[in-house]
Amino acid sequence: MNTIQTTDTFPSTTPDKVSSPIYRKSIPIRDLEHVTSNIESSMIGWKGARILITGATGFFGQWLVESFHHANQTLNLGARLVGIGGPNDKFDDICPQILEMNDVKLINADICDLDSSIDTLLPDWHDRIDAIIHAAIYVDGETYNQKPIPTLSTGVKGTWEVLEIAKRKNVKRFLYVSSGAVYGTQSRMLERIGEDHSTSLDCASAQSAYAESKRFGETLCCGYMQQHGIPVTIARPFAFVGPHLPIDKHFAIGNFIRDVLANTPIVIQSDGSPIRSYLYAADLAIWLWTILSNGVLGRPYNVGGTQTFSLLEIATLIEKASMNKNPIQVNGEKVVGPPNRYVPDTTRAERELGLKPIISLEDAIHRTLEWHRKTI
Amino acid sequence: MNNSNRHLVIAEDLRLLMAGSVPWERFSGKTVLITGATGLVASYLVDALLYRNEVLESEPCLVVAMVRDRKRAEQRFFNHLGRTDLELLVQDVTLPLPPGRTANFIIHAAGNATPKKFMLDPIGTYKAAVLGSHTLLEHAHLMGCEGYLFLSSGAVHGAVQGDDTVVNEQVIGIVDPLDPYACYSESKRMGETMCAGWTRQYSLKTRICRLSHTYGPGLSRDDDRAFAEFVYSVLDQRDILLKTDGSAIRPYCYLMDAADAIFRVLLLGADGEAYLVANDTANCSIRDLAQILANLDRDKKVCVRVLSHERSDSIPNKDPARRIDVTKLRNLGWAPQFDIEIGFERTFRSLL
Repeated sequence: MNTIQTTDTFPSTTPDKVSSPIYRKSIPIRDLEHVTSNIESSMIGWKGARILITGATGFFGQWLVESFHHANQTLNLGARLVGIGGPNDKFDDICPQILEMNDVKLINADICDLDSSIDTLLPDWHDRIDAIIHAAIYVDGETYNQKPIPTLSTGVKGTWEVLEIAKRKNVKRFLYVSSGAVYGTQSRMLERIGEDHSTSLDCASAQSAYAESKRFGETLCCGYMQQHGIPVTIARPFAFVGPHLPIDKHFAIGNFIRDVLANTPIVIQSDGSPIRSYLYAADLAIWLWTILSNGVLGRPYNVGGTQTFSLLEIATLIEKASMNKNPIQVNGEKVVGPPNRYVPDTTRAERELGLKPIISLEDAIHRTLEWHRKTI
Repeated sequence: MNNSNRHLVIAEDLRLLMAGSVPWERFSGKTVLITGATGLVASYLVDALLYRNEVLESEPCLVVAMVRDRKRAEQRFFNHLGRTDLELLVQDVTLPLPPGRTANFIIHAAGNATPKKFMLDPIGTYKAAVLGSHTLLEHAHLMGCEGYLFLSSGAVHGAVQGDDTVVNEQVIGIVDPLDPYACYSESKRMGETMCAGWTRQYSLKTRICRLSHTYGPGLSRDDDRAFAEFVYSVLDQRDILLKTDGSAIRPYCYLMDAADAIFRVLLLGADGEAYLVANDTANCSIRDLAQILANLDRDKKVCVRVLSHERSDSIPNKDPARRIDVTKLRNLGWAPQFDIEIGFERTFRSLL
């Protein structure tokens, strides 16, 4: 095990300039305590470790960074983390709370060029990196519309670059944050998708840019494991709710929360019948740290909630929690037959890694609304 | 230029190919870049375009053959070295093209294509198909290419459930991204998605051909696909050994028919679309194929010996399903000309 280097910290960046939004953007302390208390045994193994996270400014990334910081302080691990954000990410705006942490350093970099730039960006770490969590991929509404190439480039070349770094730095563990999207469209007759299930995904379609990039990323990880012995673990996340989840993007639950915060009707674009299961972001962080530390190499784990709800039920839960009595407006025409589903079978994670959802969806919605009301 | 010493079989093939309805004049004065040009299919495409220049009165096209191994390329194209309409470009397909090198058409055919090769070197397999595609698509976009064709594989369809399922371009079965065999099929899938992406974002004229069980003159002794091993067994007058019961039925497509399909899709296909390339009239079990090949032995000494009665299609994820529907390709005016007996007889003769 590496020596603990508690004095080896990053200089903190201009704390006074960013002090006011910090407390607003921070994840509530009880969530962080919840995460730390559930990952203690995994995190002990990362004493003195150097951990690299790509996609650090995203929803997953911010949860991983903040929960790392809390665990590192609480458990006195003496570990350090470097988070890679996109070349144009403004950390002051996106995540000022992270800039204050002296065990975390954020770097702007082009993921498609990371292998050749990492030693310049991070000269102190040239000799080793202990763990890498690769969560970066460019995705937005345009990915599914007119601009799939940024997703294809970052998904493919980015993953390549990060695996090359993993190879050169002899990482002890590599977590690839894949997606439930690798399964393609879930059959409506199938209640839950297990890891061994594989459904159709039309590869000759620009609509598949995100899903196919994630599929290929998994294949590439396994190739690097086979050919270069990189200890790869794989998570396939489904649907989540919590602080930092973008409320204005293509996530239905985020849009519902946006609507109640704006005190406008909750708009459901479909007929409300699609079935989802949501996991609270704090539980997500627990699952990801556990898979990184204890997952069987090369074995994918579904990550997501177990209890299922229709989108209409979810909108109703949010409406109740908001206390605003916002009406629910269903825009889609009634779909005949069994509803659309996107629900993981998480038996593998539960059996092999002892992972299960701890925070209920009602509680998750409550906590998310509370956080947003503080940040407005 | 008419004195190229082609094997009689190939010369006959190409004469037939040229007589078909592919609009060959579209290549007049154009530059065609073909990657992986020493491969079985790609080298045949190079040969076909050179033959086109010999027999057509219109302006010749320039064929830029990208290869990794100069020596191998010089062996393959030794009849054509010194021609002004053939340029060997020795470089890694993932690296940018030399400054000033442009092309009107690109056919991306580079990559490990036989199980022995891609199982030994998965990362090399991804590199050629995926990073190679990224580099070439970006070039194609910047150069304003008229056509970009990605040579994919029926393997992208994965294991389609049910013996009676007819596979067309839309029927996609199970592909496990973590299966070791996936280094090939998943690379091809990713290459296709990238084609679709460049078409969507930049309206690049990309086309995809999904080949299945293509054979013909030039079949290499290194090729470890069953039918190639059979051909060389007969050439060496060794018995053909079947490692399974040989019941799996596959469509076998002769190289000249595949080449006709590839040029047709390149010139007439729809942007961002995939076309299955298989001979739907030439379905044959591995066992029957072995017997057809054994019969080609002049001395009638070669026998077919079955070593195991394990069903040959019991290996999951290894092969696309059995019945392939090529209506989409036929709608471009394509029709196969060679059945299995004639195709393999010609292949065999070309290797004597």
